[in-house]
Amino acid sequence: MDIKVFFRYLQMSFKDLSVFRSDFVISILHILIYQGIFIIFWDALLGQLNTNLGVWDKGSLALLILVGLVFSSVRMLFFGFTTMSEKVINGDLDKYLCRPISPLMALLAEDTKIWAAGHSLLTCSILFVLLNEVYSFEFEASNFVLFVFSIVAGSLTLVLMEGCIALSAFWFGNIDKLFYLINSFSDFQRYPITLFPKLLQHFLIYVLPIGLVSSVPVMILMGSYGNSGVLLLAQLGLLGGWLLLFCWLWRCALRRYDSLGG
Amino acid sequence: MSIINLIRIELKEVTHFRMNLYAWLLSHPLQLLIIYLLWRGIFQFTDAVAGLGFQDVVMYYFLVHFINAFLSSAYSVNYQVWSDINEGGLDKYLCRPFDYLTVISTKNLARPCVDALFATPVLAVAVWYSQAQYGVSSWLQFFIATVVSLLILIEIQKVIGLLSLWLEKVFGLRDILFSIMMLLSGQLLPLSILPGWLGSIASYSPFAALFHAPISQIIDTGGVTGLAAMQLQLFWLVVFALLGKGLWVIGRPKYQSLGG
Repeated sequence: MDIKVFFRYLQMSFKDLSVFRSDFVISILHILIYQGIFIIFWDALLGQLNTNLGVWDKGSLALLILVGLVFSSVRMLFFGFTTMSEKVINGDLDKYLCRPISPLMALLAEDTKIWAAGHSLLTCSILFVLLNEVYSFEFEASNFVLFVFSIVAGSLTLVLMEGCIALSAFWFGNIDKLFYLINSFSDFQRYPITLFPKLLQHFLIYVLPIGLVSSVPVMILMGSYGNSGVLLLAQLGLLGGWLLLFCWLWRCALRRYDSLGG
Repeated sequence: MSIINLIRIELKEVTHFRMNLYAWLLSHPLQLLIIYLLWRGIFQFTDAVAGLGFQDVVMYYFLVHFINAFLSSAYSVNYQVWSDINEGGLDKYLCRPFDYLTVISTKNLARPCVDALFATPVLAVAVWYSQAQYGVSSWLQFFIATVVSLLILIEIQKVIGLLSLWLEKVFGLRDILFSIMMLLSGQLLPLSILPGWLGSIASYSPFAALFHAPISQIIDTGGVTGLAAMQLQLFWLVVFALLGKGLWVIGRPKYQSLGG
């Protein structure tokens, strides 16, 4: 029953976004240009410096920008977390709570942006093909497998963390600016974390895992990260931890929720 | 008095949810900290970037941050115009004796005053950090150029919004334009760091009038700077004001609404 509801919401999301057909093409173009701007940033900067930034050359910095799109697509699937605070404040959760479906799944499925996720992945693929012509990437197969695991685990960890923050709306009301604050941290995605102090690097990997969806997977892919095995185990642990926290917070949040009228 | 009342109402709205307010206040120094740490990391590998030292670069981004905070509310002007055209809100302006374009401009002059209040600590830190290297006249020119930047941005946004009279949706176009603007305005990095040909094109573009022009009153970042940059700002302000007026005159007869 829940899966049928989920697929129905996906269908509606698809129809909603395909009403304006030209928007699809323009969105792809926009993402290409937006990401291209940051690739130009690093290219121009390294052109001025005439040196690499440690292990980071122009190619790996371009990959760093690309990898951000993978996380972005995962995030679009869980876009419901971003709109949760508005629904809590307006009492819109009632319609989920009085139906025989999982309220969390319905809440997420209603706002899932499956098409936007597709945009990001498609643009990532196009950009990769274009950049490969310029930078001639070479990866080992084993590194690529580890990279895929790392980026997926990292993305899910970060999404669960955002989910926990979204649940704080049940206690604090409007938390849009809290998301704005977290999004400010997401600026770290575009910059190699090795440029920052060691303490901050650990913070960006183990506390606010922005590094796990940007620098770390790219370094694993390029073969320049020393302890891949240990890190991947740590990622599994982090993912499990955030999942447990999220489940516990969701139960507490539902008990706290009340609304009038409706 | 009405501007003061508007500011008071905006302040009440902004401070209603405290967690939101604290998060927003924290986000400003956080963004600056990220930029500071990034460039400190980059300057481990070099002493200067395109003739700019570490202190100049840090100062540059403080100023970008202040201008961005001041201009932030003006980014929604195109949505206001699109909304008025597509949802029939234009009716209430057409049957009243004032010019719609002037109303849109004046409505969007109040919120930047509030945003400037919150961005002022950033500017105070920038002034302290500069340790009086830059004269009073430079700062005065900076403030004037920043206000002109706001006016130019409002005009650009109105032009984008008015395209709704011909196009169903303008947001894709807007987003593409904003992305290009980030690079060519000097918001992302000083124009002197761009390749020569791109930096030259950028410094004469209307986008450079938004960030590069005000900042060039304080720091020399190459291209068109100082009073010449301010003259270029005035040129683009007139161009976009006339363009907006032209689009309004040609496009207004196309507008139709039912009911209301």
